[in-house]
Amino acid sequence: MFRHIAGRLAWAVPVLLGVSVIVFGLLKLIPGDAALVMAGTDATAADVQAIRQQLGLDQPVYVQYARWLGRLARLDLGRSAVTHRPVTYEIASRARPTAELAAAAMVIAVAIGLATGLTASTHQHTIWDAAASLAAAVGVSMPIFWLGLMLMMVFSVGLRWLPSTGAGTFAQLLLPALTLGSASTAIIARQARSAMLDVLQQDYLRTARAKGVTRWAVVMRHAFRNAVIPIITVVGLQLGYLLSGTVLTETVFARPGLGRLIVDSIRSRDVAVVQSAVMVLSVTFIVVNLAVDLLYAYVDPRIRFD
Amino acid sequence: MKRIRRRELLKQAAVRTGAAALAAGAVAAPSLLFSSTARAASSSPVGRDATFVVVDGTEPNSLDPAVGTGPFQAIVNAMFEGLVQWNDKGQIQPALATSWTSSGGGRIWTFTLRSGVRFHDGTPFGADAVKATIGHILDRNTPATRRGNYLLIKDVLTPDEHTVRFVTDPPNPDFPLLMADGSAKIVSPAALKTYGQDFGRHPVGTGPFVFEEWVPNDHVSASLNATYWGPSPRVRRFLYRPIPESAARVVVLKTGEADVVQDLPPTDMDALRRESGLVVYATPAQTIAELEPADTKPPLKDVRVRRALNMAIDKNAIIQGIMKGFAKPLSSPGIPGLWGSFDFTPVAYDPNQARQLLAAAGYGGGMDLTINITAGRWAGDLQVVQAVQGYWANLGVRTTVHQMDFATLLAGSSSDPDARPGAMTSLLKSSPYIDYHLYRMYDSAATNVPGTQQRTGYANPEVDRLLDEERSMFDQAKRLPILKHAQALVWQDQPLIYLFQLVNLWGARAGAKGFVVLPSGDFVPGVLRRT
Repeated sequence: MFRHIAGRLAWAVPVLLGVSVIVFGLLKLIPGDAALVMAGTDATAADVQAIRQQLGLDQPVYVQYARWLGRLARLDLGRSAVTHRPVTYEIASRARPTAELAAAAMVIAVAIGLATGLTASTHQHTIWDAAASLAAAVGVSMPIFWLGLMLMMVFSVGLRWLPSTGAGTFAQLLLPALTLGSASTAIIARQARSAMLDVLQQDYLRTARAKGVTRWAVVMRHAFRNAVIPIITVVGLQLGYLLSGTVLTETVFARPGLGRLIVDSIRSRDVAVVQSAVMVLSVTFIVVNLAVDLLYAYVDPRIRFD
Repeated sequence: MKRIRRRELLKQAAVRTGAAALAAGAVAAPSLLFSSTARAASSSPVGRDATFVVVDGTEPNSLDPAVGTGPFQAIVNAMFEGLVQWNDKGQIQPALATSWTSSGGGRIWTFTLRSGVRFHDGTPFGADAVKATIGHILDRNTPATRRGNYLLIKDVLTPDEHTVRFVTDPPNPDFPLLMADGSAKIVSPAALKTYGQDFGRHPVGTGPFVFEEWVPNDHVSASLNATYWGPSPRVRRFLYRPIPESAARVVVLKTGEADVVQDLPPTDMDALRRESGLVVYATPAQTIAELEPADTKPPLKDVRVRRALNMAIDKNAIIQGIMKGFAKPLSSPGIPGLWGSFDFTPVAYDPNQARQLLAAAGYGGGMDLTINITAGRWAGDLQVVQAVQGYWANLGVRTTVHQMDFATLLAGSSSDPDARPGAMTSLLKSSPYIDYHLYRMYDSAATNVPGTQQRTGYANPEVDRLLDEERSMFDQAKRLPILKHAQALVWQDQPLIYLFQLVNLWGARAGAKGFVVLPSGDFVPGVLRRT
């Protein structure tokens, strides 16, 4: 077990390094000059050169990368070129709304997705199954922009039940979380349905039924527990989708958060903020998937090797 | 390792997950359900009767007037005032200064200041505050975007507490207009000293509202200034909310979550007009859309080519078809509506004559051009440029449209025009007064300066001479014929590809009163009230 955990942890290191190379490299490849942005519109060439030296932009790319990595390791993320505040402050002040949004969307996705998937699998070839499949197909295909605006039109403009935009209250979290969670709900529902159908056809469940075990016990205690592993995989992967989806959701619903911070910073060439914010999201994704990997071993004795 | 039974593991996993969820919920739930009333008031449809909410699309980069010059002026205007200010008729009127005169051959401007005014931090407003504000703008450590305009100020004298004297070189008849600019709003010298370069996060002015909090990407709020010198607004709070998505801005206008919404999408205007309980406006803006070419090298060095390219575009069709009527055709090199801007004979759509002009210039067989554009800067921009591409294709002109980010676009438009023949940049130009516009767009002292945006390299010595002449005249009536002559010459030269004048699209709840939206697009609060 420990070897398994250690192995997984060791694997995270090259993955993180790979991510850092991509994040650093992409921002080097796209045109635009961070020093020009920092210097402002009426700066002289000498001003720009001074800032370039100060930022180390006059060094070879590999030196810049090594220095950036070094600062990253010390959690010294530098300052924003636009607001001149520490990048750690910029990220910390946006992290909570994004975490709230992603968590709420995940709760919705898992709760509704599992319920729908289980219902569909136990009522295969009925109207419930067909309705769930249709809903899942629609849920997966609806773009966040469109769905968000439609929900606003119905619940804010039409019914006046919920505020359309902003952040801070529970009411303001509902529509964005539904919007962001819809595709994941659909994917989890599909995965839950097919995993359950696989398991429900197994011989031991026929035996259980023959023994007179109640239907609820058959489904929840015997079948679901064995179907949960592929479902956990999908849930873990969905987190990546949810984190990237916050970019669009936060823009549509005018919520503060990391997604909007990244979009704004890309527009204004605020390289330090973009690099750090993307790294934070990547690390979150890697950590969660690591946790999911470890959870397998915890849940399924066949994966545990010791 | 001791082998734990699977059932127990699962049980533990469930218990731990549940406990973690409960713990997280215990921390998160109160903050979600009982978050501060300030935040709830900002966006919930109920309980904000005393809060006036203005929405636009842009998050402020700073609340320091010298630095934050973007389209979020509503909140800056709520907290700060200048010596003078624009009214909606394009004139300037007294604000923190009660009167002003020029002397010394126009080199000295004397402003008499209002007495009994205090900054929000209690500091009395006086001549030293004006001096400190100008010093702050000229300080190279301040990222003041419009510092260049202030370089003519050679000294700020404070003969007494209520008099401030600016010494300028060269003399400038438009100096009071500079003092009406958003960047010239007076800031508290004590707060400047306390916060230094962080003043933009701790703004302190003399305006009707006092800064409360700035939640990044959510809102900036300000509460009523109980000791305001002027007539007091009838609301308790003022809130600015940046909502980047234009469709969401339409939603908050419809739901009543906002009192005033700026920068509405043209496509929604018809539907919004039919809504009850709100009013929408389309008012001419001080902004023109144009393509800035490199005028120093062939093919665009030739006036016949530039005239042909202007003539080949059916601008009225573009305005109706793409802009849905929310733009005005241009027949001036100035900005219609600004004092001293003149209209001339429009360059009418005539593809046949355009073809002949091109042939006469030696481009009968066509040529290659590029248009650089950052799509999404204004509604319909890319479609307009693609339409232009189509009209030019009728002349045999092969146009490549390059999309790029704004920083790259500006790097291109401010590069040496000799190095980019045949290239032009799609840009908007907003100018507060006519000389500001004519000088930067057409005076050869400004059109080929490294680092400036509008680097077309256009040069006409006669235009230069006329602009120099009008700029040193303090009799406004005598300036007019010279301004007209200079613009007539520019209009003959057609140094730019003129598209149209934009229109400010904004809307308000029917019960929101007591403010103006200037042609610059700036929201200026007066005696605000909500019913």
